[in-house]
Order: sequence, then C-alpha cells, then structure tokens
Amino acid sequence: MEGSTTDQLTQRVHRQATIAPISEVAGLLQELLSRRLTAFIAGVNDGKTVTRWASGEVAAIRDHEMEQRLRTTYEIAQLLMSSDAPRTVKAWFIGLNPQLGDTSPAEAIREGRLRETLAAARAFTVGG
Amino acid sequence: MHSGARLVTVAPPSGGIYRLARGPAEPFSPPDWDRAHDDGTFGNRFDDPSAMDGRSPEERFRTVYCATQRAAAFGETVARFRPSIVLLAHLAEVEDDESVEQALAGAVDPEDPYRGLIPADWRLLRRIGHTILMQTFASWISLQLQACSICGRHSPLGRPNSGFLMLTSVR
Repeated sequence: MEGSTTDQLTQRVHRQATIAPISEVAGLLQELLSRRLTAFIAGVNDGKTVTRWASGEVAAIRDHEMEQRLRTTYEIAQLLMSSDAPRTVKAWFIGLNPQLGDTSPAEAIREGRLRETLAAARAFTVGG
Repeated sequence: MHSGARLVTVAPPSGGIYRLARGPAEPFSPPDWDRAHDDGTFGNRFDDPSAMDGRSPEERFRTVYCATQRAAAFGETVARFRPSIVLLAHLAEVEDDESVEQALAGAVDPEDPYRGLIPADWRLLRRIGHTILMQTFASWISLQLQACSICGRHSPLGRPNSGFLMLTSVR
C-alpha cells in the first residue's frame, strides 16, 4: 500500500466515524459484530437498543461516552476491513490481545481505552 | 544504535527464520514508515520510539519480527484469536433474542465458544516466508542491521524461548 494511501485511509475512516449518523454506525456494527456484542461495547443491557439506533427510531445518543465507544468501534472496524475480511475483524474484536494486556478489544473499548485499542488495530494492520 | 540499548548480537540461526506477513510484498520487508504511530513505533514491543526525541526516519530503525520455528511464527500472530472468556461472560448478561453462540457465529467454534476460529480469509491474505541467513546475506545484515537477538519472552505457545527473532534495521 502506498504511503499516501495509508494516511488517506486513516483520515477518511476517522472523518467517517465522526460524521456518520448513528443509524449507520449501529447498523454496520450490528451486521459485522452482532447485536449482542455491539450492545456490550456500547454499554447497554438490551440488544433491542442497538436495533432502535440502527433503524433510526432513536437518532441520537445522549450519553457522550457511549456514543464515542460506538464511533471508535466503527472507526476500527472500517480500518480493519480495509485489509481483512469481516469474519477476521469480528474474531479480532473478541480475541485476547497481547497489546491490550490480554484483554479483548471489545472489553478495552467498553472500559474506555479507545486510543489504546485504536493503536492495537493499527498495529494489526501492519503486522499479523 | 542508542547509547542505552543493550542488545546481544548472536550468529544467525542455522535453520533459517520464518515470518508470517500480509499480502504479496516481500515477507521480510520492514513496514512502511507511513504506518508508524506518532511515537515512530508500529505498536510492537521492540520498535524504536525515538521519534519522540525528534529523530528522523533516517536515524531510526524498524524491527522485523521473525521466528526460528514455523509454529512460533504462526503462534505469535494467531494468539489474538483466542476468545476472551471474560467477554463471553459479559455477553451472556446482555438481553437479546440471539444466543451468545449465534452472536459470535463465524468467530468461535459453534460447539465450544471458548475455542476461537481463524477464518480461512485470514490465511488466504497472508503467506509465510522462510529464509536462511547465509554469509552472502550477512553483508547485507551488517550494512542494514544493528542487532540480531533472540527474544526469550514467554510465547503464546506456552513455551519460553520458543525462537522469536528480531531483526532491527536502520533503513
């Protein structure tokens, strides 16, 4: 991959994650990771909440940190899917990650370790 | 090399080295600089963080992580696909029509969600490289490598000293 392409990709997915409607963010994550896993990452107890976001029935999330967790997950998903298949990306999110102290990226995001998880995702696109 | 570095230089392993890499590029090529983080590293343990000291890429090194055993090269990379049992417990607490097994379909063994699956796509997008560090190669090493050391950290295969090798270059 050319250097400028990598920079452009990083900027593009970040911008996309910042401005995408919640329905798009939740829709992609529901499709890629499942409703249950998306609900856990967001920090809600009911998977139906994710469906309400994805359908547009609920267009805004009042909890800023919850929204940031979802948008960061969306950004990472887009970044990883640029170089790996969706099933590999899903497996990455639930696996014990040595760069996250052997916790899964899903748990790390749920705990608010957003920058750390983004860094682990970028390392994955470089290495294995 | 930085004055604080204490890397042990060893002879190249007689059996050669392995590296699992993405895509069609030369498996032993160091990563492109444009993929480095703000500190100049690529997020891995023995990368050079001296970009934080203002050093340019020409003054820094990149680390190529290899293994002296084929299994170790795979073990290091597939370690990320072991499902987190803590996460599985948390997922069971979420109310949803789909079961945990259904939610994680494709990423875990359908008969045992505690066992991870490595999608075929992962393998198809990667390849393993093997090379022998010979005398003719050594001149290239002496020109471009600052250190060649065996890393004895605990491996995901459960065996210490299972043959991880780092090649650090100044390119």
